[in-house]
Amino acid sequence: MATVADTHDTHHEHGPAKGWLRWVTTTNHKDIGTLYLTFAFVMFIVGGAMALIIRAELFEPGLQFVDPHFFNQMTTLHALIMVFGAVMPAFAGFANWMIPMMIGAPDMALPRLNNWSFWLLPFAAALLVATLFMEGGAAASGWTLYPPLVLQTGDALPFTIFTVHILGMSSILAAINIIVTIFNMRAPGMTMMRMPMFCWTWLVTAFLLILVMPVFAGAVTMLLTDKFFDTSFFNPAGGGDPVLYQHLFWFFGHPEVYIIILPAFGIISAVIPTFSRKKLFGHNSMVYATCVIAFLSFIVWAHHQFTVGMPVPAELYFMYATMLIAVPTGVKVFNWLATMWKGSMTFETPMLNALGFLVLFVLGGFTGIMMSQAPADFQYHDSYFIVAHFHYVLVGGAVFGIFAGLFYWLPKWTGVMYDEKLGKLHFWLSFISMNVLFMPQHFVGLAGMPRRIPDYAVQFTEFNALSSVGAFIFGVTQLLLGYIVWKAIRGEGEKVDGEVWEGAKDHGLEWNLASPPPYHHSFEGIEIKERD
Amino acid sequence: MVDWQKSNTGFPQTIVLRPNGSLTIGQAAGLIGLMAVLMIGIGTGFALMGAWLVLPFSGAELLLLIWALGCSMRNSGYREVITISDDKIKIERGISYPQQRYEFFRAWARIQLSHPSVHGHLARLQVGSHGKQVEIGAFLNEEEKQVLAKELQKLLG
Repeated sequence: MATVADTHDTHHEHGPAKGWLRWVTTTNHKDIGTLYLTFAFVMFIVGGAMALIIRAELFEPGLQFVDPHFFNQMTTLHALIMVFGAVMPAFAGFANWMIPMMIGAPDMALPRLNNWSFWLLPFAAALLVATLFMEGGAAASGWTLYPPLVLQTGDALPFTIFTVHILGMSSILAAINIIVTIFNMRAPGMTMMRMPMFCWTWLVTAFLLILVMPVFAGAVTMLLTDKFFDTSFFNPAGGGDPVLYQHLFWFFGHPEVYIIILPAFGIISAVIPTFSRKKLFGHNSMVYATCVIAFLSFIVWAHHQFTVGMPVPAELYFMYATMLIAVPTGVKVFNWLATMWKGSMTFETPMLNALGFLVLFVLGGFTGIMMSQAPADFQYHDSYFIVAHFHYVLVGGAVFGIFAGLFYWLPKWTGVMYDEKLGKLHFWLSFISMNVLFMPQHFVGLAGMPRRIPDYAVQFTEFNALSSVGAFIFGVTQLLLGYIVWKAIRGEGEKVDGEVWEGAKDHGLEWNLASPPPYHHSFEGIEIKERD
Repeated sequence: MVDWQKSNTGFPQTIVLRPNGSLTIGQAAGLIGLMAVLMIGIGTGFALMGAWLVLPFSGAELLLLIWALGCSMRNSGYREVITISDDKIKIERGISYPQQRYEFFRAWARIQLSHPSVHGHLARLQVGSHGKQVEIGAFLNEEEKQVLAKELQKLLG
């Protein structure tokens, strides 16, 4: 007679491998998410150290510590590392950890590809840093790698381009995996419009990535052939045009800005409702606004090139198209505010960071609207005003979004509550120092201080000194972040249940799992509800 | 997911187990078509401006997307068909056609639902007899495995 035997399993083949090999061979989305986040933090510190070299040099006029060529190498590598090594991998880490749990999938659709897309990164990053030690130093052209300047790079040029290819490859693989996962692995009942905003923003980001990465890959390959194979894509002497490179770069570069910020929008759309104890206001309109932002990001690229000598009708078109972006972005900001309106708000660290994001991102957005005006941009172009603007968007927006997400989901990942006092201290120190660091750069920029210079006129001294002080406080504060996370990983803190935050179960499937979630999670008895 | 094809008139009874897949072939084709138009369109646009090296990268990436979607769709096409007849229980599994077959005498078959000894692992549902075990429904969630185990027990008598 057949029977059901209820026994305890003695098989071990489905668990994590022991030791360091677990992290090399893992195909588990949670492990890979942890790897991405750890890598991102390391690169954040490396890129941050480069920023501190820049700010130390700019503490006062004259040349103090580094020569101008090395200074330019620092500005170039700082940007490349922060964009491709820190911010993008951090969001990929969030995606790996959260998307399968949010859509009710057991893992990512292509787990081995997932492993590969991560492990490309450390090699690319090591190669990029190694270019500093090559004959002629690293690329010193700025992250845009504009010809003809970048073609003057020494031995490092092909390695830099190879690095860009590997980083791009990693991003493409991650993006494809996310698209396939979201389209094919959603649990029954998890319709597209029921998906959390974080999944939506990542889905749109993934599409942006796979649409623009080939353009960047093609552009840098053409740099390579111009340098080594006697082509003249960007060489006027051979019939080429360096402005063509600018068009190619910014066709990639402008959507890249949204690739960096959209996942942060998704995180903020998760955090604000939880700590307002309300549902996200206008979920569907947020989805549509995200799609509209993505579309607009493809048709505004030349606002980065207003001073290049475009015909006036083209300048007008790019000016008006750029201004349009404020509309869907405004919808998002309005919805976040409306979510908080009359909510039972509390101000734990994730919420503080989300509010910090909101304030700083809106400030960065406003200066963006200023720059969208072509005539005014002739004054702002290549000045420190631009540096201030994009750091408000990328640090105030993307990095504070990452902080918010980290503190929001850290208890879920580790099973213990992080140190709330230290978390709040980290927020306030970061928020204040970030403003001390970047706010003065608006003023020196408007007064005429150009970007990417190691020396400057004496009238800019006070604001630059202030900016450098802010930079060092911000930098040291991030070591505190590392300590807070380390404590939580070691299990030092109050144990938390699956829901972690009051009422969080209403905001996502992930809160129905234990904290930390099982290595191989499975959802039972959970009904996926229609959104109100 | 578990599809029951029960017969009210006795045996054979068939149960089809399949992993969840939320994308249909038509939707996948539509997605690939849309992406092909956009990616090749962008690549061609730049090629017309003289930057033809974008196009090979667009093409390579499109192929990668098609491969990835194909892999995932193929995995979603995996089926385990359990047929219980008067005297036997037959398990067939594979993609498109049965690639593996197992048979056990119904009278001797034993259903085993084993809880993991390590926290965070999933339970395993196995069918077997005389020391030979076959895991079924590895892709099902715990709740589905429990329901399936009970149902199989009933059917096996």
